[in-house]
Amino acid sequence: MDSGLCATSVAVAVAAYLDLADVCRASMCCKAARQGFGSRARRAASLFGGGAPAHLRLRFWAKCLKVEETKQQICKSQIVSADEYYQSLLAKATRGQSCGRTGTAALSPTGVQGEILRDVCRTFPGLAFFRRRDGPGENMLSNVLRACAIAHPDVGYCQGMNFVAGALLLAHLSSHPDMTPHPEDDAAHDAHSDGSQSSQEVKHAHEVFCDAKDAPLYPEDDAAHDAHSDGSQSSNTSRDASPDPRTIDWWPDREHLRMEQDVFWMMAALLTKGRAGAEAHDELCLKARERHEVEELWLPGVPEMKLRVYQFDRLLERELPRLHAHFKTTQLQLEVSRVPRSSARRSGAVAVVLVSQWLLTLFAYSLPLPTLVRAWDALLMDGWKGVFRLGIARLRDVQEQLVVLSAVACLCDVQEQLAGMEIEEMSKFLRGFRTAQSLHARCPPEQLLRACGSIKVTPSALRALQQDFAVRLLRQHLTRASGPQRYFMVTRSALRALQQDFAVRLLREHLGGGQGEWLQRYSPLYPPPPDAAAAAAAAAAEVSSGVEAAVRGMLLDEPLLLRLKQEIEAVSGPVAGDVAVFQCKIAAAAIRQEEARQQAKVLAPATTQLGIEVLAPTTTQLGIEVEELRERVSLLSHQMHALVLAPPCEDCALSAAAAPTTRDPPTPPLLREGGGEGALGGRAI
Amino acid sequence: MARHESPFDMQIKLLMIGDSGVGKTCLLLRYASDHFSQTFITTIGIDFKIKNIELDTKRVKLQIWDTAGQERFRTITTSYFRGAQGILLVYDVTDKKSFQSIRNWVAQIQQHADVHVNKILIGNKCDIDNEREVSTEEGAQLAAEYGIQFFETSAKNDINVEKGFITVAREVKNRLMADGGSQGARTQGNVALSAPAKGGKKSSCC
Repeated sequence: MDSGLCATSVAVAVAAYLDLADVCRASMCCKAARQGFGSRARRAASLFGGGAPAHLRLRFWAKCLKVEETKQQICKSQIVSADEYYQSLLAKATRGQSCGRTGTAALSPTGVQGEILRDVCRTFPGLAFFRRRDGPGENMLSNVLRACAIAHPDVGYCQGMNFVAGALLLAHLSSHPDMTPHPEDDAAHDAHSDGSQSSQEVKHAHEVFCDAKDAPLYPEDDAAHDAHSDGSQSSNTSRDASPDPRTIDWWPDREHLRMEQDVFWMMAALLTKGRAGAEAHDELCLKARERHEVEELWLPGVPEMKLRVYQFDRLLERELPRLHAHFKTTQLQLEVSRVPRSSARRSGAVAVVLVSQWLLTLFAYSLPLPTLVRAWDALLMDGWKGVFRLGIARLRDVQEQLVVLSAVACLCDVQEQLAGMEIEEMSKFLRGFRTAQSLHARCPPEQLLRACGSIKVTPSALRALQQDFAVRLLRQHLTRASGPQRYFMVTRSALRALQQDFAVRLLREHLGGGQGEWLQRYSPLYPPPPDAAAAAAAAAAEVSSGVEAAVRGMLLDEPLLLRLKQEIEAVSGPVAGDVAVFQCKIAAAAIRQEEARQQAKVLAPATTQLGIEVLAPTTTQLGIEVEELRERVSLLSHQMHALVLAPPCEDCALSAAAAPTTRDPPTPPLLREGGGEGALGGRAI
Repeated sequence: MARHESPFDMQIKLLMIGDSGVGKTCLLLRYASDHFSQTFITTIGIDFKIKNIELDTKRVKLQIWDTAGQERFRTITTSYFRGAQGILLVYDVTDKKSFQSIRNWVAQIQQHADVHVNKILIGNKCDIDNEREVSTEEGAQLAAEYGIQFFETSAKNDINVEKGFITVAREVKNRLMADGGSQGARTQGNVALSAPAKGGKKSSCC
């Protein structure tokens, strides 16, 4: 146990200097290392070390997302190959359209297709790859998104998916083998010969990403960007003849399709995770599902959003209390005509604005691509924990500046202006580093990820917050039950958390007959503050009357209670029957046992007599044999003692060593017998 | 602490809503930074812009909230309706559907926003005349039905953009001044502004 822990911590420390591939390799090297180089070491490598090497990155992501499993699962249920499945989805998406074309040309202007059509060219507008009308970037992205929408009709298309799919496409693009320079290029040739293909790909990935990094994600700097991109394009073509990702017509269709499919399957894995888990109830699936639940986030009405925002808000409060307080005051200034009604409204404007973008796009909206791919290494491994960590790490960078700013503002009494400026600055900052120089210099990915590593977000903390949120939701629901039911969304996860807690309590209270405690638990002022208990009690009585009424209504609901009772009886009926049978059997057994005891009493003298008469000779015989055996054993042990205690001269040692070997061949039966007796004697003694 | 001269006399919060892709962000960019770009980006969540203007001798700070238009984000965007003092309803004149859903948006406003919030109807992309699906008359008719102002704008060609924002800002300003008086607004900033307006608009919690 101790050594295991030690090995793990050593491995984790080492992993901080490695990249993910090294860690995986190390864990495969030997069994001992596997224990150490586990998930913690992988995390260390992804946060502090080199992350996934560029040429293995996609495979690593696919592994994290369990793409293969998803593929198999879907293909098995559809009885088609993966390629056919994708083709059929595209065909379905295109059916009813003008002709068999794919890409943006085949999109109808209405419905989901229209939404995709509108957004495809608005994804990463800084990149010409996606911006070009009817170019390969647009077509591939729209195909992927349409296929996703067809494959998951309940999710359809949610804004934000375009950025995730787009970033995945870019990542695939940069690691595509065709992206390497022409083979006749000398430098490329050398690189190939010593097998460092990855370095080339890194270089190329870097080129693609440079374009992304220097390009504004925001249209404001468009003029500047146009000049920049035009310049770089021309210099690019003149410098080397390598194919530019932005003029990608040279690609054969097959390659397009392959890449589209890869991206589609990754998206599908992101989206199916929940469903796969829902079908199989084992612990592993449950864990996996808790890690990535993007599906519910992207569903119509974004039902999961409030939960995640709440979790983020509370984590922020814990990790960065000053910034959190600052946001709160800012929010007060922002929300002019409203004083927050209660603490339930604490997840304020700013937090939602911040987090919704980050969550919906998994940071693809706001991080420059080189940082993003590194971040995703960690993020796909950790799921929501990773997302929250990254978000908090990013905010920690600004905390100092913001708090100082506002302190200065207080002194100068120009706070209103600054607060106003700040929110605009803030929103700019969230959309990319470049546009908000005043707040933030460009943050290298290493620094950001290292910061992530120092933030602790545990699954149990998240789960606790989730439960908290579920209770809050129920409270809101109950207090609002009288009003119109608008936008009341309960997510599966919230329900899960709620069900356990609620059902257990409900049943216990029902069966136990008491009705007080859990009412209090769900009343808005639970737990009551210790110092103001009396005041709170009065307030609670007032506020929770609505809740109580609703709950009491439930308790007085005769049919409901009857149904519950019946259900319980239905469950407990057969058990009760069994118990009765068993009790009968036990009673019968007891009677029989008693009888047997009586008989034994009666029979005891007879048995003794019988024993003496019948068994005595045999026993005597056995006793003699045992005595003989014991003698032989003592003899043997005596001999052994002599051998062991003999002076350690060489002769003796030799003879002692030689003795058995010389004696061995002629007397094997004796030796075996002696050994057997020795063992027997040992046991007997 | 000594009370310094505030850099503005009042702050007004405007909200832009409308279907996805009607050009809300472009309108805002045109107005706030007088700039139009051919490259657009999907708005995810909510975005802000601040614009300080001079409105009838008052220095007004406009805080404009730009929302995501996709239907499924309404649960989030509607929670911002409450704080808004003016709302710009935007549709696309080349997209009949975006015009039809204006009614839906108005219903949302009635349900979620303050009762006295000022509204304005804006038909964007009026420069694309050959693809027009919604006539100016239709727009004007709808606006008249709701008793609100109506403008056809073009963020691209800078037609009526400023006019639209200024109009709604002025309406809000006049309403607030009638409600609370300019004195309170001047010294107390936004908080005092809102206090008198609060009484009548207690619609529902959210």
